[in-house]
Order: sequence, then C-alpha cells, then structure tokens
Amino acid sequence: MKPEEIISPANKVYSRPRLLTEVNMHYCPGCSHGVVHRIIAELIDEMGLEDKTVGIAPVGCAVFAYNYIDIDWIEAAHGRAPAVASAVKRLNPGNMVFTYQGDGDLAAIGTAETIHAANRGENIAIIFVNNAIYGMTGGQMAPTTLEGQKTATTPYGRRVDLNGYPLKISDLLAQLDGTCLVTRQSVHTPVAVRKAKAAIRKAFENSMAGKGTSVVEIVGTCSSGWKMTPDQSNKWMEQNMFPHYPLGDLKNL
Amino acid sequence: MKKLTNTVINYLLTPHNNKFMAKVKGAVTIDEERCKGCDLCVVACPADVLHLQAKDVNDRGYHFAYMAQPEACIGCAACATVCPDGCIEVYRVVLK
Repeated sequence: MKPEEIISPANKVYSRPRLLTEVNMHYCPGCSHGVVHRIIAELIDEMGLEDKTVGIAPVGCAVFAYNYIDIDWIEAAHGRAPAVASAVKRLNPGNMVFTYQGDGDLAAIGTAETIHAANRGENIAIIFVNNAIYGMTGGQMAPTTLEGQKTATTPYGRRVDLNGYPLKISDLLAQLDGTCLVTRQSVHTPVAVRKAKAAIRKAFENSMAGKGTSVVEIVGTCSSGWKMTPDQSNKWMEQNMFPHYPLGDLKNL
Repeated sequence: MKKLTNTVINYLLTPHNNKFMAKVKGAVTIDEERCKGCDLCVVACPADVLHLQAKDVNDRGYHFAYMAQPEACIGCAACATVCPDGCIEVYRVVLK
C-alpha cells in the first residue's frame, strides 16, 4: 500500500492543532517551547476553552507566544506574569487564565510575584519551562543553572561558592498552602509529552474549578544555549537535569 | 525454556506467520517549509521511517525530514508527538 493511498482525511490520526497559527515559530530547531506550545493549543481546543482562555506571555524566549496560539493574550513585564494573571482571573472568574514563563522570568526577576501569587492561592495555572539557562539573551547563567554547568557567564562552570545553588523553585512552591498542583514534567519523548499534556490538563481544570494555583514545571532543553544538537541535549538533560530536577508530582491535591 | 520462548516469539513476529495481529500501515505528511530539521522525529521513530534530507534544503536552509522508508511506517504518531513545530500529520489504516 502506497503512502498516497493511505493519506486521506478518513485515515487521519494526528493533525496539527487548529489553534496553532501558520506563523513560523522563531524558536531554534528542536526547542522544547514548540512542543509545549503545541500541547497547550491541543488542550485548549479539546477542552473547548478557546473563547474563555487568557494567556499571559512572559519576557524571554517565549515572548512571542501570542503570535503562535490563537487565543487572547497579554504580554506582561519581565517576571510579572503571575501578578497580571491574578488581576485577570479576579476580574473575570469565569475565564481560564494561565501564565507561560521561563526560568529566568519565573525563578529570577519574578520570584516575588510567583511566590506571592501562589501563596494567595490565585486560581491560575503557571506553565514553567525550565531549561537552566537564559536562552534569549545568549545563554547566560540562570538561577536554575546546574552546578558545574558552562554558560556564557560561567565559562568554567557554575561554582556554588560564588554563584549559589541551583534553585528548585517548584519544591519551594509546593510548600505553600495556596498551591493545589505542583508537578515536574518533560517533553523529550512521546511518553513524556503525553504525561506533560495530562499534567497541564489538570492544571487548566484546577483553574476553572477554583482550587488554587497550579504549577507545571517542564524541564526542557536549550540546544543553542547548551551548544549541542537537539538529540544530544535530550540525552544531556536525562543524565544531568533529571537527577537534580526529578520528574513527577510534588503536590497534587 | 528460553529457547522455546524465543522460537515462539520469532514465529509470531515473522511477517508471513503473523496471523494474530492486525496489520497496520501508516503514512505521514511533513510541512517541508515549516520543518527546521531538528532530527527529533528521526530519533523518536521506532520503525526508522524518517530521515533528514542529505542535500536538499527548504527556503530557510534547513535539511527537512522526509519518509525514507514509507513501507515501514506503522502510523504510531511518535514523530508528530515530539515535533516542536507541529509539521507532521499522521494517517493510519488497519488492513483486514
């Protein structure tokens, strides 16, 4: 049977999400952001939340997220996405509000906003993509950079005595009473992608049900910042990131 | 015992003896202009169907993915699940 005979609308088992726009994403080849965008677009369509969703875009690589997913977006100042999301959700309690942030946005400049939004138990979902580096600005050290990891600003590797320890911010957020779901996932294999999708679905449901703040950390790769091919990055992530940032639910009420 | 198990497994997996499993054939379409040649679908494919073009490039200069062995495709959608740019669509038929 030739591919031309198989390719027909009746046999389709996977199609591009309707809400993902035709615009070519600016992300580097193999970037985890693309997969997370696709999962979010699929979920919003599947859950029928297209008209009810407000996304809050961050500053960082995902700053242009509003160009790629066809829903309502607000672009927040650097790190302030949870604060903006809190206001949107309080004024429109019927909407599903989520923020999409990187580690430089959420765990560095926006630590205060993140922790206080979670501590207030705002009914928002926080999608946190952790790739242990500042990708957009050229691969500088982030709070989440691993010990010994080489970046543009730590060319001999991150030193704990000089730069401190890698910040496990999801573990911190799990301690707060306002959070209802804190989970750490990844998107490097088909199985991991399905698990991450289930976790984000739960976070969106929690936002609609008003159960509290949901945090889904996605441990991702930055093949440009790490100076590896996408496949090497995935292997490096499995060997180095997962021991420090183990996958799984930290809190699920 | 191990030898016997292996014999049974081999019998079941040999295509002309395969009377127990429905045969599945798949195919994928790749948006060549959107593809960035990141290689993740090639790594994810369990049947080694997809390869990157060795010489051809798209308008943005990337070696896009293509079905190098279309007859081996089982339509599992692993490639589409890991594609960061959503360029892959998957089709599947179950042969009776």
